[in-house]
Amino acid sequence: MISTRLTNLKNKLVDTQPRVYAERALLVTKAYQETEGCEPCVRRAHAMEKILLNCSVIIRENELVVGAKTPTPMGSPLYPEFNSQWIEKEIDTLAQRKETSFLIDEENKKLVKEKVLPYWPGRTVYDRILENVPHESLEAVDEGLFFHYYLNRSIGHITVDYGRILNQGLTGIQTQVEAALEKNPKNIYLQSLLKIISAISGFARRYADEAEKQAESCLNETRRQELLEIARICSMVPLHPATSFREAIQSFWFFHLVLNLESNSYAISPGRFDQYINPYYQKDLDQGIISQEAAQEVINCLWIKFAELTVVKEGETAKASNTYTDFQNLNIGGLKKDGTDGVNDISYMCIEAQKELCLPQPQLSCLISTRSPREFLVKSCELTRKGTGMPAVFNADELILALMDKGKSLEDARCGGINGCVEITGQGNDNMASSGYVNLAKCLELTLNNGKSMTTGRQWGPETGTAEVLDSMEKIWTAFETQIRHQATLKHQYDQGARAAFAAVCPVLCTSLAISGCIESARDFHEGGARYNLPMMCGVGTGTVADSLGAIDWFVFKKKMMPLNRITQAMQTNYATDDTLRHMLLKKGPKFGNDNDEVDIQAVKLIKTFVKVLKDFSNDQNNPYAANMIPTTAHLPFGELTAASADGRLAAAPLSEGISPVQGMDLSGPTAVVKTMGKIDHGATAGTLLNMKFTPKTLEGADRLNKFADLIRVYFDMGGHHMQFNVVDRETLLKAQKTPEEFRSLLIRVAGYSDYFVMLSKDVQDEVISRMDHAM
Amino acid sequence: MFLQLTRLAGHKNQLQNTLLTGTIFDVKRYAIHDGSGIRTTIFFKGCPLACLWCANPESQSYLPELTYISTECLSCGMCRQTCPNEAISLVDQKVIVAPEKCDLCGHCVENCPGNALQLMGRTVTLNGLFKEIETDRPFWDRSGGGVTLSGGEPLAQFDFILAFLNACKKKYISTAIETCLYTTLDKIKAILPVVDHVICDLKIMDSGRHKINTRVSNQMIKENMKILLVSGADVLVRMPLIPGINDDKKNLEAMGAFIESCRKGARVELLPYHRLGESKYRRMKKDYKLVHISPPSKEKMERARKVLETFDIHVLI
Ligand code: SF4
Ligand code: SF4
Repeated sequence: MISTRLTNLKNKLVDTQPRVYAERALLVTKAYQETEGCEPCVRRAHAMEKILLNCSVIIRENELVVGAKTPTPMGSPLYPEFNSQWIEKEIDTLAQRKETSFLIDEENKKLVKEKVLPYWPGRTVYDRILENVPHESLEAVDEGLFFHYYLNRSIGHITVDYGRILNQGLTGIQTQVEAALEKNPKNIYLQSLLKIISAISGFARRYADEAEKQAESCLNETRRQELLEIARICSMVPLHPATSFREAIQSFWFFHLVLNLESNSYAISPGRFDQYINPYYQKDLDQGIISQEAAQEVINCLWIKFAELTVVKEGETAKASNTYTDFQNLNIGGLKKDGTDGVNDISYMCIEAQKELCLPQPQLSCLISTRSPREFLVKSCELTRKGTGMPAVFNADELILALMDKGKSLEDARCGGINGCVEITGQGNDNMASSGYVNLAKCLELTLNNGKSMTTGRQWGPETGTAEVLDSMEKIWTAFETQIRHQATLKHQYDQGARAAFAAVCPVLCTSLAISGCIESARDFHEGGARYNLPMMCGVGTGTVADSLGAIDWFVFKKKMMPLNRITQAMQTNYATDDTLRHMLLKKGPKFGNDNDEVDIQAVKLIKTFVKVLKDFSNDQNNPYAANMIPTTAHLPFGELTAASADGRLAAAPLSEGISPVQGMDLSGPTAVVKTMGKIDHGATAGTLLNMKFTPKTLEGADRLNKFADLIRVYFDMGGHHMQFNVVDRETLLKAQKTPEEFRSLLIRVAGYSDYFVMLSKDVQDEVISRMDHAM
Repeated sequence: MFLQLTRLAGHKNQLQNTLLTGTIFDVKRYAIHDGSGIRTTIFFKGCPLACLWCANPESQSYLPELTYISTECLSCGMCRQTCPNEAISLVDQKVIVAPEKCDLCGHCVENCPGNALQLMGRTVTLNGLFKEIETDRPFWDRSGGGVTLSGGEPLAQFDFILAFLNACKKKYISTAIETCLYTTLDKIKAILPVVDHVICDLKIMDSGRHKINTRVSNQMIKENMKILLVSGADVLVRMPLIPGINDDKKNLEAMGAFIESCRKGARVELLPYHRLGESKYRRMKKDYKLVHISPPSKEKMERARKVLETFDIHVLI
């Protein structure tokens, strides 16, 4: 049962409109003005200190876990040091835009316009990136070939070593920095780290003071006691090692919050939360300090805090990543360092929290191993049945193989987890730098048009042959690989330039404090200080490409029903004069996702090729790139800019998402989808995303739920990486489109995250609806 | 449009003589409603009964049937071009198939870009079918599932299903059969050693009423069921509950008494009548005769359960 405290907190959260606040931007601007000419790390330390010691201290009514980015929940600060240009352009339209709108009041707007924006032109990371990267790589965005991260948000996908903060406290970390300083006394980077440590403790201290102050004037004795306890906890952590469950949770949250104030990174993820929290819980439980119910309430309060966090994004980014949630991926289950089962009480309490609260954040990921108890799998499925799109389930055993394949040691791989949507990452030792998306369907379009875009006519790739010359599947594949490689080269040039810009001007000191390798090497996270640095690119449009190549193979080469140029010409004209052909391709071609080798093989080959091509590129630390098969929502804007495809898809229609079959084409049921996806070599990638939709009836009752659990288990037996589910029927979604007021709380899975259905833009809604229901 | 085949006699012969082919109309994967584990259900085509409430009208005839939905038709003429028997003409943009010329070769279906033409039912070889379904093996293994033969009436294709069940047995695949039991006793006896679960229907106890509603008498069905239940095989008896047709107390009591007399503690599942198959009747241009009957309410189901539970049988809903 959800308590009144939680009901109130949740209602407040859900009823609040997302809003932008100027405070952080003002502080950071002032700090930078005060440090003109200093080293970047000094400026950064000063800026963070300014923010942490001057931002508003916010303790909301009746909350147990404290610390907030903005006065209202779902508020976003601005981060002008990364990119102020987009803010200038879009500040007046933020409230009206289609994708993730934000309110901003006149006063805040005025402050931003007068005090923030004039300072930044020429000084932002964005300006640096523009200097560093080839122009062509940016134009390719307008062509729909890429979507680049970093242009207006900091490099992200960070999971720091929260366990270290809890266990050692900042004092412990300070000792390490001081030890490093002894060897290297003049190092200003290390000195800046010390400054940051004291700023973070100061920040917590301010919360302790505020709680004490509120306690003084509090008339309700119960709440007064709570406030005093909060004050006590905030005076202890994160400075000192946590000594109890409550302290551990608060210490975690403070550090997590600070990371979110430091940068507007994508996906600052809690990672293997149950692993580092459980020891504190068990200890308290043993000593009789806390009951399970009380601990559950604290976790629930933390859930609300997760759900409060959001970041305002630039318009194009909002299209590719059309959500208020910020990919705080919280992992439970999996294995321990020694290879034994990692499921514990906290794992179940996290499932419980989501069951009770049904919030879009954090993104709950269950890491399921053959060693996990069946209970864990089935409880995950029970939560799935609630229809909030959560949890995502991951194959913990495959995860370990995939991480080892990317250079992690066995122990680090076992401790590894999931970040962002489905990306594999080490815990607190990894810079898993996902750099954006490559449109593979567009690469195929270039292949079928001799390197030229069918939409703009621009020559984007080498001339690999016209349709007349491509007279076998082998030749098409050779040409396709050349086109992919050419685009990856361009994307790689962008990535290198962008990363160099961050390394040069924007160290992330708070992050680096809790990433193993940074202190020891006195090198920032952005400079390759982490023990592991794994660059990756995401490939988008797997299903669309598979069905296109499958159709070409079938109709042109196997059945010899038509020459290739009949298809390519029809693509050029968007099937305007050959509708019969389009229907033929759409309805009679072999379709990926139906356990049909004929076409599944094309997807398998595509992923294999993408993995192989990317391995030939590396970052500054000489780590080869890994491939990631996720779209977030980039398959929609990419689709808009991609010509008609050989599978009968019309120009501008969405591409397929993740590795999922083309929307509505998986006609042979979920086992066939699972069998199909089992053919892919998931371990060779850095993550694949499979979305499935089930009608609620399919999961009704214990018997069916168990069968559903078996379906997941089989996918993982076959080496699958990830699955996520929407459990909702089509009618409900259509109704929600018509009367959104009645469906405010309807959560659904979009890509690697869940979001409120009615908050999505119409095209994302339509796309979700068009995915196939697996009904009975 | 729905083609009734004219050369029916010839086709039937073929069925009996060729040991290793069968006619099926669907393979349902991830079947999770019947029996243990995740199952793969094969629907055989053709049934000696014609129950008024049948939800699978396409299962009734033993032969493949060609259907056409004019609203999906692009009037492209591909079907006419590809028909080797010149059985197709286009009149007013609509397709007309001359049944006497059509031999159900399926070329037109394969080349129909609109999916307007469809063949209900296809002929499969033993090997072909086995390969097709064996792909689901990992799911059976994990979940304790297997293959279910359903229909139509699988036992109407006895030689084929016997061979198929044997093949499954050899490969340690668990099997179930759904049958109306309208068949001869020797056939039942022949499959029992190679099938793990039998699900059989009991609809109406009164022979006359049975005949009116299903086209056949229930004499043979009752005899077979008795032997089956006495044999100790794993049996589930299914009763579709159709308001106004078999939900009266008298019929329920007769059914309960009969089953109890065959096996004490027998498992009986009550299935509420549903109308989900109605649209298929339209597609096949067949009449749906039970338009006036609505599915039984929860209370009605419970009332029926109560009546049955006065006997020594185990009733599930
Ligand atoms: S091939 Fe199909 S779509 Fe074309 S005319 Fe024949 S039935 Fe209609
Ligand atoms: S099934 Fe064969 S014979 Fe019959 S209409 Fe189609 S193509 Fe012609």
